[in-house]
Amino acid sequence: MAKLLLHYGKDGPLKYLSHLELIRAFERSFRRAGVEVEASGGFNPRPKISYGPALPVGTSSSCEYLVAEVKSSICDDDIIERISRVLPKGLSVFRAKYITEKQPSIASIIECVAYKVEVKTLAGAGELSSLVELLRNEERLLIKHKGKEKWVDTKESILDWNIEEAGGGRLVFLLLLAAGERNSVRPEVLIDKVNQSYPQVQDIEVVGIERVAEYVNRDIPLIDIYDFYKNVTIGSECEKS
Amino acid sequence: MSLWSQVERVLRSVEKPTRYINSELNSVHKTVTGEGVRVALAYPDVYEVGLPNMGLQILYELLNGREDVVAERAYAPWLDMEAVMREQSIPLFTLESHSALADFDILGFTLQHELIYTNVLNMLDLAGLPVLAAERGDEHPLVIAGGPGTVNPEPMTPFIDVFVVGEAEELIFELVDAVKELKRARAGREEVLRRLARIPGVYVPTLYSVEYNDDGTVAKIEAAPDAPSSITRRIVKDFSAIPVPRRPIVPFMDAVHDRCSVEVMRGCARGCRFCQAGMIYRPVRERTQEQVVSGISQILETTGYEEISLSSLSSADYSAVEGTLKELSERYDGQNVSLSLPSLRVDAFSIGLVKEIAKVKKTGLTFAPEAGTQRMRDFINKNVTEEDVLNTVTLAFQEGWQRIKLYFMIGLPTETEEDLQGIVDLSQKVVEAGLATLSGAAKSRLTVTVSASAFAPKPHTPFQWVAQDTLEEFEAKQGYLAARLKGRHLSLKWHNAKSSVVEGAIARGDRRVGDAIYRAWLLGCKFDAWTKEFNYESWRQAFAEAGLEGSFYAGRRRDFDEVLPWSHIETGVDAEFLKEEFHRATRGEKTGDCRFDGCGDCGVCPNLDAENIIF
Repeated sequence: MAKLLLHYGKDGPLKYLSHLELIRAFERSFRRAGVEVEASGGFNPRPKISYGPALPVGTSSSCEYLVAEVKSSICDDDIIERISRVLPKGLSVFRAKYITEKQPSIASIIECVAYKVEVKTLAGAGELSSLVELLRNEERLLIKHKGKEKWVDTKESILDWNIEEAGGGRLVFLLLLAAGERNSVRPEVLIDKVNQSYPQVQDIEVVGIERVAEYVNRDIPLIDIYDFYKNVTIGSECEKS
Repeated sequence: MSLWSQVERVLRSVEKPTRYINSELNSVHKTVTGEGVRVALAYPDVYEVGLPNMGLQILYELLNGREDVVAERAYAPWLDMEAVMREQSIPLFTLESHSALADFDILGFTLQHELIYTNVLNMLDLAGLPVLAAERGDEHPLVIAGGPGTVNPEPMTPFIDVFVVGEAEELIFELVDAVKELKRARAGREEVLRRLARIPGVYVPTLYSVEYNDDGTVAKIEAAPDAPSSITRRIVKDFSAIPVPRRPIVPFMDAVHDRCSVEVMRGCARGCRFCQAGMIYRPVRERTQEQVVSGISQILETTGYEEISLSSLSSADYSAVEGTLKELSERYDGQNVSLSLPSLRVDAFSIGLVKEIAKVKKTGLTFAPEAGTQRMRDFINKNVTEEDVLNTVTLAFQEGWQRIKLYFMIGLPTETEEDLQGIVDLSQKVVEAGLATLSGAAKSRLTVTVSASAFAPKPHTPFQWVAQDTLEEFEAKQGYLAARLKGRHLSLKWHNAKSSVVEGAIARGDRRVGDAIYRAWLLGCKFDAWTKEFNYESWRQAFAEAGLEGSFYAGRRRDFDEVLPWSHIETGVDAEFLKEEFHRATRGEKTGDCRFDGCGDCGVCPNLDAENIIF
């Protein structure tokens, strides 16, 4: 048995897959690739694959991770190719490595996540920047999601932000947001807040959201999750001649 | 032109957006030149119901195998999606290229059962096409329909240009070639229809006129001079010569069936007299074990599926079923691949089979005695005795199963209180067998679910002349069962009898019933097979507005010499045989299975120039 860490992305129409649908797509892809995954015991054996935090439906990502307990190790390059060949269009594997067995799960160690949120608006980058700055100066923000409300500490949840012009009346918000237990917020939050708090700004329409990086800490220097996991060297079968 | 950007803009606001995306594994994304033929295959229900349909998957793979043809899929958008599409003027689209349906040369629907007919109308309308065939012109796609509904196409004739009667593998290329040629020649609609009508198995309703008697029955059905007087169902004579489709589309979302399913045979010769499928898909044509096993292995490679199912009308009757299951369970041992058999017979052989494949999980077993008394089981030619049922369930209990489901029908012809009581008695005996066999915790988990569906007589069966029960009769019978099928281990399930009555009226309807379907759709009927969406009052109103009585079609005992609205459609089984089967039923005579008991003279082999092929 070996633990395989895969860095993958989800893009195009497939960003509308739910987390459960994504899981099934990967399970079937492993089967098609001929990569045998260990199964849990019991009456209803499940492949042992663990995933990072669920990506909201409609959000694309270039920084998703999973850990699969595979039966035999195949070297990194080969495994990327084998899986890539059978993945549906829209899912792609970027990197892979084997990691040491006793390490915490992906979902448990992610502390912050970077997003790109592309919006359509008549407002300029400068105008929006000052509004966002005003919001950031509020100590707490009330977050409403799916009928629930919670207060978060503004500076602890929106760790960093920037706005760039993307041409064609579009702007891109670069956001570094807290994840995990404390002060986590969704990427739409800033745009929703601006829409709610400043009705003088014409409605900002979200065009697309992309998750671009996941980190295991919240301070500079940020440590990318892929770098955090310690690799193991896999035996001779992975040595290229 | 792709509508994706418009579609995507609304996807965040609808449930289950996966229904409307593409890129599923094995889906084909390609284009053809202007000379090529573009086909949209449409299933008139929501994605997760329509995707697994075997017929459409076969057509999809066949058509896309040709360089000059592209086939894409479309499904009925769910209500929330329909609302935003109508609000934002997004026409109905195919999944692969997100093209408007109106941009295709051929738009093909499958008519799986009567309660999806209004969805066909709704999809045409959502596509921006005139719903009525008579209002469509040269600029519109040719609207065709296939599937079991075509054995009585009449109620759908106002909406469909061309019906394809029979198995599509056999004639789809003839149809596509003709359309391609006519497209090149820029033929007008009328010419296209006349030309297509020359293809055996193709029914062009505008070339047939129907006259009625004063009592509302059909007087005669007359074909135009250059159209055949009757349309004979096309079949694949040697099913084993047809390769197993290798690349079924793998849905991302949870579909009603989501597994590797291979057809092991077509047709069934058991001869249950109520069963339309058993009559209209004859003769029995098997695939070889080798073909089935290698087909499965290829499908597992292209799909990654974790479940295998041997599909047919009665898979336990497949002559190589034992060997096939054994070979599969050995081959996939330890690979977390499960096997299933969708239809079981009431016998020890079937228990032996499922015991083999359900080594760990023993979820539940379903048996279909269909009727409660021996008299009624003989009447419908379901050759199963009470002893068979009790021995079989006892064996199942001994093997560790604790949940049994029993299928019955109510409203079968000649049914009396005794037959209903028979359902109660047999169900209770099954419970008693469970209590006597199981012990300890297993005993307390014993569950016998009784499903009682309301029988709707279907065309081309020995019961095509009988009267269906009225709604009041059905409801009284359901009440009878509900009052008596009680107990800790018993539960009773039934379908809404109202939808069975509507289904019954459409099933044996004539052309005029098309008007009722049209009015029902105008009144908002759609997704009629979904209990929550079915609206009986609207259907009643629709029939009334059309000047029709549903009971004329469903609840009337027809004379044997009445011209039936579907009499110009030949399934291969002789009407004389069906009549004789009805008489045998009333005399309490059983009819054997022609695979084992000699020819029953149904006519299908000589009529279709075919024969049973058993390996």
